[in-house]
Amino acid sequence: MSVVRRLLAGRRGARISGPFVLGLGTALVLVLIYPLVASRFAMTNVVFFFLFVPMTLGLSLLWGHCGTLSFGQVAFFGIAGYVYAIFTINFGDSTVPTMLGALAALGVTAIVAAVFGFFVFYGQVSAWIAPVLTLALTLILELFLGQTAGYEWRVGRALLGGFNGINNIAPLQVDGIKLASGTLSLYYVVVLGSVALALVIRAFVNSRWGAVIVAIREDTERTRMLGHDVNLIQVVVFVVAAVLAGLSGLIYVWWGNFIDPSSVGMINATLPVIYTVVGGKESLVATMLSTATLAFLGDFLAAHGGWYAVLLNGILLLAVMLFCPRGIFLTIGERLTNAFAREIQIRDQRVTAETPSTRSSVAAFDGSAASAAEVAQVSATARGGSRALLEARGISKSFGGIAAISDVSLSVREGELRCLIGPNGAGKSTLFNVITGRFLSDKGSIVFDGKEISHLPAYRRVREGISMKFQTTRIYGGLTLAEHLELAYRPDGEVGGGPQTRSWMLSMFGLASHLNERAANLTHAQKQWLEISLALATRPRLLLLDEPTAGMIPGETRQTAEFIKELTRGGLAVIVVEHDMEFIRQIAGQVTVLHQGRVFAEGPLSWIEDHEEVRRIYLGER
Amino acid sequence: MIIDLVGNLLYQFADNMAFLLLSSLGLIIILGVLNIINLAHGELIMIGAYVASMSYYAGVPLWLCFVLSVVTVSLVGVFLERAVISRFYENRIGAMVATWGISLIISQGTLILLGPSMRPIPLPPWKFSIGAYSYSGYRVLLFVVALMLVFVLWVFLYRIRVGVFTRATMQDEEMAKGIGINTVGIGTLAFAIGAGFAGLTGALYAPTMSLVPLMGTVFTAMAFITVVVGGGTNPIVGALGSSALLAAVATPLTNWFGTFIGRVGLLIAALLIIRVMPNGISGFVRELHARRRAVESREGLEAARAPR
Repeated sequence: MSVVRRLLAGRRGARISGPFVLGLGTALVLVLIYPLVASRFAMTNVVFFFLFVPMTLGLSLLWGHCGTLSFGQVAFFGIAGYVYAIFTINFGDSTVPTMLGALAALGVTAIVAAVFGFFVFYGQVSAWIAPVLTLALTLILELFLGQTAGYEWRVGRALLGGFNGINNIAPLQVDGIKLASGTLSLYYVVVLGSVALALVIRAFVNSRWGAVIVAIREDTERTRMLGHDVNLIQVVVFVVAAVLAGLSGLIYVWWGNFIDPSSVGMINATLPVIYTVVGGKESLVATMLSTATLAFLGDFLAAHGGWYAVLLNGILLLAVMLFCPRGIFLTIGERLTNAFAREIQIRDQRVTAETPSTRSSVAAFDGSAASAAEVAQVSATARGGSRALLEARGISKSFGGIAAISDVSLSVREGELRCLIGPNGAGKSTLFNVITGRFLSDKGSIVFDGKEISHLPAYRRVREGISMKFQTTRIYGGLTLAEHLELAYRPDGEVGGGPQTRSWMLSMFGLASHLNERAANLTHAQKQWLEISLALATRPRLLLLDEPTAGMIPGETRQTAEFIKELTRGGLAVIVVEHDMEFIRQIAGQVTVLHQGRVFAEGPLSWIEDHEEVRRIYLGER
Repeated sequence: MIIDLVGNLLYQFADNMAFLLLSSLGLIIILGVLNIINLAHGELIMIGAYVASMSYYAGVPLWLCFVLSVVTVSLVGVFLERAVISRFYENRIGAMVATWGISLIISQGTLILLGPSMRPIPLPPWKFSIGAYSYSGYRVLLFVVALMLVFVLWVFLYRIRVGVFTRATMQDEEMAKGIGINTVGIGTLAFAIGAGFAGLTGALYAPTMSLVPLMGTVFTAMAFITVVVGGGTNPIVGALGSSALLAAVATPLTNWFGTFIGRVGLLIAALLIIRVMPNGISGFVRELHARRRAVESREGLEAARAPR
């Protein structure tokens, strides 16, 4: 029960709010008793208002949570409807054919979506491409279905029928019960099914995988570098959204017994987007409520004003985007819940105020050394000896022809602390990106722990044990610290490690007391440390830190140096890019100097510092 | 026989390329400068066609009808950019949704105000023939006009001061702002130009098709595919390369298998191309150029370094 409660409640420790339970309960009771008082006609209408709910929930998942807008929902709606119609016309309208027909419809929808999604998401294209291509898909599908009048357009016994579409489609039959228009069974299945679907998807979104999906929306690249196969996840979410749209398409043909090209057309393509925008794309429940309400209003308007319904839809869409971009239903819902939540918040604040403030991270740092070693031990699973962990040979990478690095070789042992220095444009960041796989090298081999990895995509290298901290701090400002550490991919399939590991990591940086604070509220140095913890949460054996002390005051820099040394003592290899020579002196590792994309010198810091050429490079003498 | 086939294919290629080029040019300029996709592009084309038809039947000479369309739709574009789109520069997907709302308002508003169709402009009866077939001279004119528009755009971007500012804004808006370019004004100008191209496209195609409020969708599907394949990095390379490539795909398919297969072919071509060139043809070309330049400059460097 408590698990159910936790999943249904929002993230960030929010409770299931009073209004939510009250509203849901009242709505359920009303829905259940409605058939007792309503006519068959009224009931049929209610089914119509709810049948778009799966499709819009899919869009809320895809757009509101995963960050990809699609105008293709209505295309998948149509594909499922047509496939079901063709199947049942050919194989009969009893239990088995209709059930197989429904499965076939959803299967075809999923396959089309998977193929389409593969091309769109694996190319890692800009965000505007997916909406544009899904819109093109919808328009072309409508064009195709519109010109299928005539006898030559048939599949078996089913005529596609051009603009007239397909009529007399058999409803789903289960054990002699027909889910036909006007029946109680269709009413209950659709209405209760919609509510159940919204709750199930909400529970999924609140799970740790749901958190990963939201993380993709917030920062695709950072999430990839936590070891997640982002392209695959995006395709899967796209397919799930398409199947949900297909489900709506199935209900539509069971309900109305017909389907025609206009159900796939431009006007209908608008509806899921409007429902989702007006509801609030980040909230499934708001999306569900707005879908039913707007379908009702649209039906009412269509009966009383025809053309004006679409015009008003357009005005509504534009107005909401301009004046209430989070969505009308969501905004109202939040206002209502806030009134209830305020009291709880006040209580929370009192509790926080009682714990001693650990904002001053200098004070919080002492006593963390032991725990740092523990984390490092956890991280470095295979320790011992000084064999090479990373062996990069002859790596070259150019961008549009400018050779960022050429013929660079680098070898790093387990537990080694290596500093990478060099003037701006020397290729330090490029070398990092080639090692982590964010860029594939043009030439050369990279062997990590005896395994050639130069062909592996970035997320796979994270899973092998290479993790990185970006140059500019990239954290998820809206998430709490605890939620951050849950996001990392872990080789054992577990996400983010146990609570103990998490608290070690954070206490090491004096962050433990901020566990339930939003990351956006941290100081600059704390954000840097949080990102290092995030990188550690993937249990790396090699950690790459790109300017970890940028923007820190000297005290914070010293702490960071201490901490990094501690990590290597546990067997973790660390490569640090830094400009701050004082910091490099503190961590006292082996130094590699890059210059104009090549390794210029390598050795202990004292030797490097005496090296005249290196000093020339740094001082810019010619 | 051969000349019939070749002539026919060439004519159809020119026709297809002109259609793709004209429908996408305005969209691709707006994408390049403002980095947003204007989903109301088809409706701007529709307004252009309607203005042309209305002024034609008011007795205005045909060429002046075209000018009126361009001016009207540019003004509509300026209004839309200032009133709505400028609020979404930080939110590109939001801009798409908002322009989608605008497109519904324009097409349905037109349906309500002006009814389900508009009188078409008669097609100028210019004919010529190659081999056994006779062709419409007007459609060849469209092809020529399309290429001329690309040239006009080139002159603007590469030969006029404001055009250079526009390119600077496209490449690095922050930097352009820093050196004192009025990037907001450039954005409005780009939108006006893009809208003006849409208006001209509508006017040019008004004699060739039935004029209905939803006619914009005929253009948009193809325009979107062209823009995706072209990419926004360089409007001229993108629009030319993409429309030529896609016309080469669509012409034989349409010729032998019909319009629908032709369009599906375009969609599939677009999917394949973004898999290989995520930033479209223009992004790809820019990278090729840069690579060649770098090789040349490195060779130059090495030659200079070589012991004398």
